[in-house]
Amino acid sequence: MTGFDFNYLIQVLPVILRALPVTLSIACLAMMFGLIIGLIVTFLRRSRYHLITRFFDLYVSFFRGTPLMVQLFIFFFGLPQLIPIFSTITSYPAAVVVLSINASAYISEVMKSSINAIDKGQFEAALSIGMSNAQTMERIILPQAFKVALLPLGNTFISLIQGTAITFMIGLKDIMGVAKVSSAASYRFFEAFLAVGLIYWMITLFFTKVLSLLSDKLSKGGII
Amino acid sequence: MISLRNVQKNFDDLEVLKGIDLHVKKGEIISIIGSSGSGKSTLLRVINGLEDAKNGEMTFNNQIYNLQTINEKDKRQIRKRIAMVFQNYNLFKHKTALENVIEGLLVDGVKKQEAITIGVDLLKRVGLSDKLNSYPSQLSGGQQQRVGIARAMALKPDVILFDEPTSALDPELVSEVQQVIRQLAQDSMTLMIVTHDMDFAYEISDKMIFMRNGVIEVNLQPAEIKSSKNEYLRNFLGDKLKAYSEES
Repeated sequence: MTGFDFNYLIQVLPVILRALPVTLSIACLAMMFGLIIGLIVTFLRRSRYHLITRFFDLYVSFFRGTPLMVQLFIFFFGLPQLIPIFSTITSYPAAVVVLSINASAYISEVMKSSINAIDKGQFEAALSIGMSNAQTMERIILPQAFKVALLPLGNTFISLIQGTAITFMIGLKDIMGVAKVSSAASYRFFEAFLAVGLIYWMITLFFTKVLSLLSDKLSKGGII
Repeated sequence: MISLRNVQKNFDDLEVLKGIDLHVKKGEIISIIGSSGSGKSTLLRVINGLEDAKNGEMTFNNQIYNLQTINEKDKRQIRKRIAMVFQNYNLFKHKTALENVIEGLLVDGVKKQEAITIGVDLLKRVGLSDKLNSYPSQLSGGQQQRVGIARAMALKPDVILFDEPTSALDPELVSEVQQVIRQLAQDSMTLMIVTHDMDFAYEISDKMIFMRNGVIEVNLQPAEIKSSKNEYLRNFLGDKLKAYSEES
């Protein structure tokens, strides 16, 4: 079992790829929920009540300041000890929940700075024609902030895809999980992990391309 | 139309407005002059509710507002009737010229088709019929400011406030914007214009207000301005004053 077995690499690729829907669906769901939660957190952090602002600053600080794996373990292995009902949660929803919350912290940080990047004059102009604060946010500020945020949010998504790799530690059969099992069965560790690495790389290249096309398209209007 | 009583405003320890009393009649064109930091822009922003006042009262369309306690809802009502044109145009960057103009109408509940008809007409009036679908970044400063004026006109306000409308423009673009403001003046719109352009203020105004250190020093008709004995105003006008006296 020494040396490099190219044939095994070719063989194991389709096996691992079969688990791709698990990886991508977790990443997409987490991105979607992360955006929703992240936006809500961003607004709460802009609240005029200091207690709320503080609390959600802390939220962001904790989830950015601790490893994703630690968060996953606290949620999946730790919480059932305190709240027994949590032990019924299976690994897939657990992974989605933890990744969503983790992503929301990063997304909130991106959105906060993107909103801050919008010229104060845009707020004032919107107010001056009779818009409410909420309308100003929805119609004027957020559309511009999302354009500023597009690339950083894309990076968050790419980190999220790669972050799914650790979900095999709670028993999930994502591409990393399958690679791990295949490698253990064949003792071809190098080939199996190289194969899964290549797959992550290709996914990342794909989404990087999609993002750059998207940002070209958005800048056509000469907006940012 | 607008009456201000004892309007005071602080930025931290700095008193920017020290008890402003002012009365603006319907159809009147008032220009506010004075050096930077005299409080003239702040005065406009307080009227439009973009700055909160520390004290004071505003009467507008027979409604009395306490500027210290005024709520967001009243501010919104006022803003729909008192429009604002900004020094840096502040056009919505992600919207076309036409969308910029009709945005306030749409928010106010006007049907889209109707809003577009109004918007197209307004942009025609400011001479931008060929720029309906241009984004702000594709327009010159003068064109952007004309869109800004059309946007301010869209809600058919009672008053339009101009905060140094031509200060950010290249000299050759100033006249196209001033022409649009002249047009508004001829249509008997009520206007308050903060400006550094003395000649324009002199030409267009019914009244000129000279502010200094948060106080209205002088409130006179243009013709009386040159003969004013106010020392600060004479200093501020400087060479202009000589030019005026040579003219007359």
